Amino acid sequence: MATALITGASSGIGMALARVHAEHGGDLVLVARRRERLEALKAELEPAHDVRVFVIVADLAQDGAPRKVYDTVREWGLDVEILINNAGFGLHGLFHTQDPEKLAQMVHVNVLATTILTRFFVPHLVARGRGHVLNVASVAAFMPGPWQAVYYATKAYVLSFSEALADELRTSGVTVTALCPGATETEFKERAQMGRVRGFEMGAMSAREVAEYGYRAMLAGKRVVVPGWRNRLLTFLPRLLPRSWTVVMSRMGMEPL
Amino acid sequence: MAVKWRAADMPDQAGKIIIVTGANSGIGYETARALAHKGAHVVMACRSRGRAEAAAARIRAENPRGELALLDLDLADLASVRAFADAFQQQYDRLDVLVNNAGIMALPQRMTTKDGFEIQFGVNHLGHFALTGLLIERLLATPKSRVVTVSSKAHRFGTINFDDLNWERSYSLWKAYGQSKLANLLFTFELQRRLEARDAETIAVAAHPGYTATNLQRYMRSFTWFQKLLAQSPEMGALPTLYAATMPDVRGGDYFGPDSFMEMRGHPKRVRAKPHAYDAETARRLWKVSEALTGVFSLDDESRTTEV
Ligand SMILES: NC(=O)c1ccc[n+]([C@@H]2O[C@H](COP(=O)([O-])OP(=O)(O)OC[C@H]3O[C@@H](n4cnc5c(N)ncnc54)[C@H](OP(=O)(O)O)[C@@H]3O)[C@@H](O)[C@H]2O)c1
Ligand SMILES: NC(=O)c1ccc[n+]([C@@H]2O[C@H](COP(=O)([O-])OP(=O)(O)OC[C@H]3O[C@@H](n4cnc5c(N)ncnc54)[C@H](OP(=O)(O)O)[C@@H]3O)[C@@H](O)[C@H]2O)c1
Repeated sequence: MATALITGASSGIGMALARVHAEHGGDLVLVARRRERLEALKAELEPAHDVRVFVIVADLAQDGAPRKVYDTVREWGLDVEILINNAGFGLHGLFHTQDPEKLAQMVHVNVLATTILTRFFVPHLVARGRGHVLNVASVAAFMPGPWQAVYYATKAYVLSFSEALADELRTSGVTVTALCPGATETEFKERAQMGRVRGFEMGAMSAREVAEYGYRAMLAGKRVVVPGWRNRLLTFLPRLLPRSWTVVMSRMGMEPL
Repeated sequence: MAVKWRAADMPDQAGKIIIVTGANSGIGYETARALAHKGAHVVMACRSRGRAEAAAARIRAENPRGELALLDLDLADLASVRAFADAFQQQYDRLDVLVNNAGIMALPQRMTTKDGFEIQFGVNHLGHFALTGLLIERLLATPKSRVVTVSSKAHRFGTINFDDLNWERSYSLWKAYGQSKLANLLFTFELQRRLEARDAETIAVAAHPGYTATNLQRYMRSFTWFQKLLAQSPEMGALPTLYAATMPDVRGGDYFGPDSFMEMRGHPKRVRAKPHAYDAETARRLWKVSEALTGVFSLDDESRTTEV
């Protein structure tokens, strides 16, 4: 089984993806900031599945972090065949009141790190004629999102970028998948300081379900996948509704209750 | 190594902070006592405040040059190990020597620690594994610091029963003790490898006391006559530990034991453990499960974790 690099593996969907990959018998490179969490996951997975787990403690909001991650992997002589760009976070609130620093970090992690890591790793995959990229976008990618304007925009970027790249690489043997979850039980909501919003009150999927779904889609080379029928409905509506209605629907999902 | 080395040959220990686990009885008591006489500040890490106070009072009555401090530590309870490490780190900013001495042996029936580990594996190995990990920052911050772990000749018949580390399926008292004492050595050598990998000044060494008459044999009444005949005094039994803890010629990975009659009695000398105690693969595996069981992660394989 191929070696996978997963960003944001210290909690939520990323951690669940790491477990799924280890269960398939693949080695792992885990990336995130919280070292303790990554070490604990490594200690759990290595003996349980007889795999090797490597840990890179990195803050992907920092300039140059993707380069350092890539260099470290090269130095270790690892052959990463699966790249999973999962690290990301949101920030709830009205745009004009939000902390500019935090917003910049969000764009860095969700957009820049995803783009540049992909840029570093993909040539190698293309050269060998096989491999997978899994980018974790969101249902947010399909619509604008009042109360999380920047987050939704970052996810629209990830989806757009993934689909275009998938097309560019269509004959290379390398697949690119955009996984677009809806509300999922992780640390996301709390970190985004979301409070109570309809979008989450209507029920969330487990990180495990989302991860299994995304992982299968990645292996199958699917381009855009949305786990859960409600979420699929949600991403379909913008195709039917006028743009002005879509934004209202989306606002109703995100405004504080 | 000086011929017939004795406690009086230790270098001066003034200014050193030394933790001795199980310092209220047997070898631990004699270790604490001798170190205090050489001027060390000894932290007696014991599970019973009463027994620790009584032991400290006896040593203090001899007017040692050094000081004795008491801190509660129950190695059969990881919460207590954490509390001990927190309390120690609040009070001290250095740690020159950690002596992992406390131990129990040959319980006729399987017993478990608070966290559900078989008690010999839990106390003798896992408790000390966690303690060392939690104190590693202090050790790394102290020049030429040491971790001395007290093992036993019983490591020879020990194996690491990875399929059932806690002897849930079958319990044999000697196998369980042997495993725990082999674990002490595997731990010491793996710790040394990990310290070397990061160019630390801290070293890890092991010692064993031969056959020494202490409370350890409390569960083996029928052995009393045998013990009277063969066992040496706890003062003698403490010598290999004291040598490992203080002598300048000690190197990381060394192992000390008594020099005469099948390493059962005598003065300290360098000894060799059985080859299986030096097996790096077993040691690494034991380290990893110990991390998982205790939740204490300290010196990871440098090559497989990095910060960018
Ligand atoms: N939960 C949802 O409802 C939901 C819905 C749609 C999409 N998503 C997307 O799913 C992905 C995973 O999120 P999650 O729900 O699993 O949330 P989570 O539990 O908060 O996990 C986020 C992960 O990203 C990592 N991360 C955040 N900032 C980082 C930084 N600066 N550098 C390195 N790593 C960083 C975190 O690790 P450290 O904090 O240790 O660095 C953590 O491992 C995100 O891209 C998110 O946008 C989530
Ligand atoms: N004596 C020998 O012939 C011999 C041979 C080979 C190896 N050893 C090793 O030498 C070391 C010292 O043993 P010893 O012979 O001096 O025996 P000892 O007189 O029974 O002393 C053992 C010490 O460990 C302490 N201890 C036991 N369980 C503990 C726990 N859960 N938490 C904290 N402390 C605990 C005891 O405290 P309490 O007083 O409260 O019980 C006592 O202070 C042990 O590691 C033993 O395996 C001894």
